[in-house]
Amino acid sequence: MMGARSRRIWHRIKPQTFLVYLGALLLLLWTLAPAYWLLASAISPSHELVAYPPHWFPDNPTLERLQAIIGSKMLRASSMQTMAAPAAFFRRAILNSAIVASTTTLLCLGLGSLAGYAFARLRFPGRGFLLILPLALQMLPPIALVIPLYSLVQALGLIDTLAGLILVYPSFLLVYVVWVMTGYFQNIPEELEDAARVDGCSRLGAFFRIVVPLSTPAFFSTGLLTFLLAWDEFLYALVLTSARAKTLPVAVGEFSTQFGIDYGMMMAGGLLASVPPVIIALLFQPLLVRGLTTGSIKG
Amino acid sequence: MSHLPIGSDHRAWLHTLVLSALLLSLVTAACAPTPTPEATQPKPKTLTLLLPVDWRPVVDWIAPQWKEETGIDLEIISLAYDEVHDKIVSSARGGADVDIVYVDTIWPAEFAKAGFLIPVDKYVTEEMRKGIAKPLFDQLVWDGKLWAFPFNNQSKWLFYNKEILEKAGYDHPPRTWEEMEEMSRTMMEKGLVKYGTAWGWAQAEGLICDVTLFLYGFGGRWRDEKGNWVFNDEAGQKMLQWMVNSIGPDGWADPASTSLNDRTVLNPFLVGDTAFVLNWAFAWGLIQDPKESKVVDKVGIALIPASEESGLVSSSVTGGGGWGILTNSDTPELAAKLLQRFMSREVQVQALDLQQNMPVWTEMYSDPEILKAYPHFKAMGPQFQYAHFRPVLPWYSEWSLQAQVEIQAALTGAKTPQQALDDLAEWSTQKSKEYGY
Amino acid sequence: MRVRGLQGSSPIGWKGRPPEFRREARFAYALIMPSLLLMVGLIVVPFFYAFWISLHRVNFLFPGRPFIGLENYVHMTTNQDFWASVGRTIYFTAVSVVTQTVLGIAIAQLLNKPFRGRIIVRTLLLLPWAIPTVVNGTLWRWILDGSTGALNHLLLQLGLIKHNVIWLGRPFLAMNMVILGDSWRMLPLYVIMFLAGLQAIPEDLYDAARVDGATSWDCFRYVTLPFLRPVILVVLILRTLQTFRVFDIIYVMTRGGPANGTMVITFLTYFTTFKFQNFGYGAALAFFIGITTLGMAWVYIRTLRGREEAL
Repeated sequence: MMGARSRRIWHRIKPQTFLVYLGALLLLLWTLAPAYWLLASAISPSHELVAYPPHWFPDNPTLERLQAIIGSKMLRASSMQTMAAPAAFFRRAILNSAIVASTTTLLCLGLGSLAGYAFARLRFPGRGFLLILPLALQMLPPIALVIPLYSLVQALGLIDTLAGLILVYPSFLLVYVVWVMTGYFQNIPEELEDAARVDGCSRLGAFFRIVVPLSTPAFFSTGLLTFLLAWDEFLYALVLTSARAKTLPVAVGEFSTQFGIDYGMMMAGGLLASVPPVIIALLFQPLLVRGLTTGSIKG
Repeated sequence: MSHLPIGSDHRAWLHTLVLSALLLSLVTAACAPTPTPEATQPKPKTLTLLLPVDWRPVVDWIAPQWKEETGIDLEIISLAYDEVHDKIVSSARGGADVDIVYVDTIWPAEFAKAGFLIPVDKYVTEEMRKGIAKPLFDQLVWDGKLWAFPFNNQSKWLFYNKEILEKAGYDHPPRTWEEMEEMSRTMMEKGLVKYGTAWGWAQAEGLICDVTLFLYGFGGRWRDEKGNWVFNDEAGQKMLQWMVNSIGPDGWADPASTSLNDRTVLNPFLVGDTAFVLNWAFAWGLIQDPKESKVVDKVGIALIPASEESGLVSSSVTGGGGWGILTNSDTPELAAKLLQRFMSREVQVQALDLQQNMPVWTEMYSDPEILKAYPHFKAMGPQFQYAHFRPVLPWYSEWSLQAQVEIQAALTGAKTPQQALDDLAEWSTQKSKEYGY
Repeated sequence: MRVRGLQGSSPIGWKGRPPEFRREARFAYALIMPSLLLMVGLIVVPFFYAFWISLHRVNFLFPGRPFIGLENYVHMTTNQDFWASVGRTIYFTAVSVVTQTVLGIAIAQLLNKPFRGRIIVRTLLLLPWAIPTVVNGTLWRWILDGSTGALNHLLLQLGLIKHNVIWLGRPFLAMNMVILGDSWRMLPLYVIMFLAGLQAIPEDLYDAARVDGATSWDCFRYVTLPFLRPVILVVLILRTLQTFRVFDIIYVMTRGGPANGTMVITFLTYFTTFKFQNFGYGAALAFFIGITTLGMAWVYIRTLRGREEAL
């Protein structure tokens, strides 16, 4: 009897599915609402930002702030005069962040994969210890190290330079690369390299010719993750840079004066600062997910 | 593969070395854009200044002129105000290449004690001594020496909405706090305003500024001549109780005051939801800006009242600051030259125009040309003589934080005013003994 | 990507080993040396230097830098502010990690079920995490603003509140709001880790259970949880370690206030060092944080090793 069965199915399926879709909807709202507000605030004119009843969708969206930051359009309004300089320097900060993040990533991938190969393939005294020690060390929070590091960087004459940041950043990024690469290399069958070495290839040659090409996915996902973490870093950048080498996270805070915070400008700056990492995260989501899970837990 | 007559582990070192060198050169190549590309030529002299974002416009303005006159570049490091203090600390201690820094009125003691600044008495000209009021120098003096050039004459004023007061039947601003309360209640009853005023009492330095002007306005003071902390006496208690009452359930000021800062208290004022606001000079710029304000040309400026009982005319608080020279600097003479230039009338006029920076030259407040362009100066000038300092301590940062916490405890009802003041006094006394100041 | 050999191999010495072994070892050291040098130079040396500073009185209010032994540590352990700060840090860490774990599992469960548009949701999930911490903190500060923030506006409009709530104005409330802002950004991490764990659970187990008449809750309790337990353990420890170090979001949202309500231990260290210029005491605090972190890292590593053994 068709009627009764379909009714039973109707009763059985509906509540569960409904809950799932409701849950998904709530999740979507929770995830997107604040991000939307970041966008909306950046393009809302000042008086709409503080208006009540609130303008959830700006009536007169303005790209003025974004233009002031990206382009050379100066902020004309007298009350925003003081924001003109931070806006202009934001561009520089974006460039700085890009350079620091990408160079650090390349550096970590290079050094980290070499070390990872050693851990994966070779036996040597202290292997266990050397594998664990940096892991523990990397956990030390920046605040514990920032003063001595400042002295070190200053002694090298690298305060307020990108090189100074690039030198310091591997301290919290490198070990992750080593760990992921070690694990990944271990899963590549040694026979492939042995075959190459039988043909007269050196160990290192085998590494570059065989292992590296096979590990491209791991390099990519680890590289992306390292890039994002470097892009996000704040404390070291705050303390070790002043004007020339200022990175984005530090620049975002600049839209606040002695007397108050220009939230519109801060949201505009924040929006721009978020665009590269968000695009990366959305485009390469599967790779990033793999990178995040392999490093920590997967067996 | 390789036919070099060296062992494989030597090759390993070689490869690692080459790779590291490659990466290192990549790193340095990436950094090439940032340091001066003229590294091969002798570097032109530069003066480096560290200042908050709001003090930047006038420096940007003078930089090209200065370069033309002297061939020296000005390198400007600007930060959010909150970060300037910490940045000065790390730069000075780290021996960074900074010459000139902004010195807020509460920092001279700390920076002088820490050995960050050089005394600038010898660079002050006779003209400056005569043309600038003594209190402006005094607030940058510690241990008998001057530690910065006074650049900014800052105080708080009472801004009031003339239109609303008229509607309520008042033709003059309040002369005492009690009068202001009365006026506010009347206006609230008549539905003319949401609240009489909103105070900027969030946990920040601004809170201590307000407490200072209230304290002296009620006849109290922070310390006596011997340096004892006496603010928790009767006057102080009355003062704090009055503050608490104003935002209480039976109050006449916005209860959200404990989360507002000097900028956000202007929001309701600018749309006519409050009739009074205490604020610094920059507020006038916003008040008269049609893009931000709905009360353009409706606002008057008055002296901040004092309590009836104290019999005082007014009580306000000093703010602002000046320019100091770091001991790090290897060109102090040059830095002093620049700062003397900053002090010139011309630059002060520009600063007024670009940053609403109140000038330090007394004659500018009665100069007819300036008064024509800035008619509000007439009303603002008289306030300075009633402005008081906050406590002068090398350890002011620490003291201020504790004071903010205690005062806020009273304002939020966590402690009684008596309790808060007594606790703060006890702590201050103990610390003073420990630190020797 | 399990790292094999983490479970200590038998200790390897030099003596009595063939030359090819020594060559291999030298080769290994060559490859590891640059990384090791960086780590030692950037972490070990500064850490010990910080300890050295902490043994002196380095405070601008006093002349010189006399050696005072463990006096800074004595002051630290007898200081009420210090313990209050530790308490706040524990509260922040515990509440953050527990809520994020519970929510993470729930959401991962949700995303493990088939539904239309699941791919989109899974992709968008990472969006909050991609937003830089500093931007996130500023955004939430803006949303939670007492007079003009979006949350107040929303709640007022919906009629859920009558007056503006000063979210960042009361110490305890502000602390929880910081947890909220941090959770928004960190939750995706938990979700993807738990989702990976869930996906490793064979589907037939569920089918078998349902055939036996198990309800959803039973399935969860007797199939999902046991499988997930190792993942949960690792996530808990790892995230505890990371949350303990919270700094950036506090700096941007509340600066330790109001009334020290969000003055966690890292921020206390920052204030002591940069605001009060008490470098000796600040170094002691920093060293304390370091040692505590190392302790937790040790637990984490032991757990990883334990998992290796189990598998």
